[in-house]
Amino acid sequence: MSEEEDSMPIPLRKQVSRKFASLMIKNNHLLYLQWFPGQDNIIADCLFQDWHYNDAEFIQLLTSILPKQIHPKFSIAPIPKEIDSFLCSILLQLPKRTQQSIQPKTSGFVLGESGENSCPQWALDAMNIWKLLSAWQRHIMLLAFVQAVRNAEYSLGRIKRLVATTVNDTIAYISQTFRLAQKQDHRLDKDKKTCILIQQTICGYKNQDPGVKQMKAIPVMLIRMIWKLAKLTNAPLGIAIAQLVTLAFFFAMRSCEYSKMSSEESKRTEIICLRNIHFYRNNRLVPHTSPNLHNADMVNITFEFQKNDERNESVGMFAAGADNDMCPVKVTTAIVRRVRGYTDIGADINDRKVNLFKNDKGKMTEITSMTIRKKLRRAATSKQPVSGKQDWVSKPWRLVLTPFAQEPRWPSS
Amino acid sequence: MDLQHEDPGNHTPGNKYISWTNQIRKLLEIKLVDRDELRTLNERLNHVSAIMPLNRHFMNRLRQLETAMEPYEKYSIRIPLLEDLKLHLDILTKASQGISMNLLTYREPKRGYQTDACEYGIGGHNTVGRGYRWKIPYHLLGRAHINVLEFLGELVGPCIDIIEGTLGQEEYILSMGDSSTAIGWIHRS
Repeated sequence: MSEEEDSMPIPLRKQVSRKFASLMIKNNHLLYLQWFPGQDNIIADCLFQDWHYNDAEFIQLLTSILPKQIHPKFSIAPIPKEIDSFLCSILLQLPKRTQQSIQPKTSGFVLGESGENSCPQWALDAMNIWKLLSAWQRHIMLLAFVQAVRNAEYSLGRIKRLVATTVNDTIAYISQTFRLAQKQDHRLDKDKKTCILIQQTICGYKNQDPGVKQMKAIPVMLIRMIWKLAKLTNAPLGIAIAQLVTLAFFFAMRSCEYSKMSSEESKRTEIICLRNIHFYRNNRLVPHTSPNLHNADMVNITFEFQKNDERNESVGMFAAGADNDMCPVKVTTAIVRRVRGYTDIGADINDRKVNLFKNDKGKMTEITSMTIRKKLRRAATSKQPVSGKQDWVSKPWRLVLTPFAQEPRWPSS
Repeated sequence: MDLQHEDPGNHTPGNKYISWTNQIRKLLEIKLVDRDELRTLNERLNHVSAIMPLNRHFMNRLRQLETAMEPYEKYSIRIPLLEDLKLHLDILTKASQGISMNLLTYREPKRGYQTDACEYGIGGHNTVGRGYRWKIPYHLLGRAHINVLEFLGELVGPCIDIIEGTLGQEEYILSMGDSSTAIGWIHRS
């Protein structure tokens, strides 16, 4: 915003100052001013922003939320007419700005941050009507909303019906918003239990819904097939993906832990870095720089922060003998050596991610989950596996640990 | 703690008051100022500022004029400066009557105000529980920048109490706001 637009014309500022100074001189008072952070200015903030509350409601709300901050005799009264007229006269002297006025916002503190803060006026009006309804009427309204959610009226056109858990979650989010705003959970009846109508409706939806179809686990033979294809083509990217998939297989990793995801999916979990990987031989730590790293008998990976809120979880895997492709220690060694071998990276060598890859043009990239998924699907369709092929191909891919003893074999051609 | 006194000792002597106010009245009448005369006036008003700190706020335009008319002998006075001079007359009158020591010393504030503003209105409250909120009339929306409203908000709280007569004598008022620009404007407009 330009300085000119930001400022008030100096003569006008002077006019206001003169008026105020005259008042102060006449009444023998002394004024001092102090700045304080806006985040502490809660009551004043609510006062001028939450216009949808009348004075009595507002005082009641503030008394319940901020009992210590609010004065016991707090009251809201209209400002004197002289001041009202003075303020209007000042604003009239200001030029009308061409900038579009923004949508008024509520303070967010009283209403809760998650939802009503950006409510349009019609929604705030609806809230006022909501206050007038009885508990039973509210339950009926909520039930109508439940049915509308179930019928996917607020979803994309291709979705015909939502399952019971989604409907239940939606209602739960709404009641969470109410509770954040210090209001009663409207699902509850006077006995503080979920309204019987809603309970039975959700139960009915569950009965109508099809059963949960479990995702099939990926067998070891698929990993072997990825290795085979990678060795056939001898492409560095293929080898790198095969290493990552093997690592993920042994440590049952989430895709966001070893590959780059879209920003929405990778909000919390971080990709494993070299600092998270530790090798041991005879219970002694083997540094990443050691030439005998591949001779380590155990690899330990520390998952610093996972989306299930677990922190610094360490998982260890032992070496698998002569099988170089399916040995967690050898595969991890190969990854560590490959990533450490890249030069021209500004970051600390221990902070490098395991999915780093230098392409043919010498540019550093991160292997994405999409690339890995494509490789897996190609491997799954290259030969007919024993069972469950359709599930791997059609569903979003996810690694699930398979018991090694039941390793299936490729059918003979 | 308040200072208890019967006679306010800090005041401008009568002869000085007459001389200085006559000078200002003359300027207001002829609307033309001499360079030396302006320098003298500024020095005089600067003395008054010692007992009337509020006076300093309205000195900047006079000082600016003094600098601007360095190459000139005489200069015509414009309307904003005339308004300032009128206020200086009031201040001098007040100074001649005497200023309470309570208004010259730092004390614990008896009344505090917290104010805030947005494009749609001004709100605030004081330490005795008097809250107010003023919604900008629809036809005046979009005229004032948020800083302007914050600035007005800082002053509205004390003004309400003064008009409603709820403030005591020689009160030390502390107005608090979250806009540093608005506070800056009050210190120097």
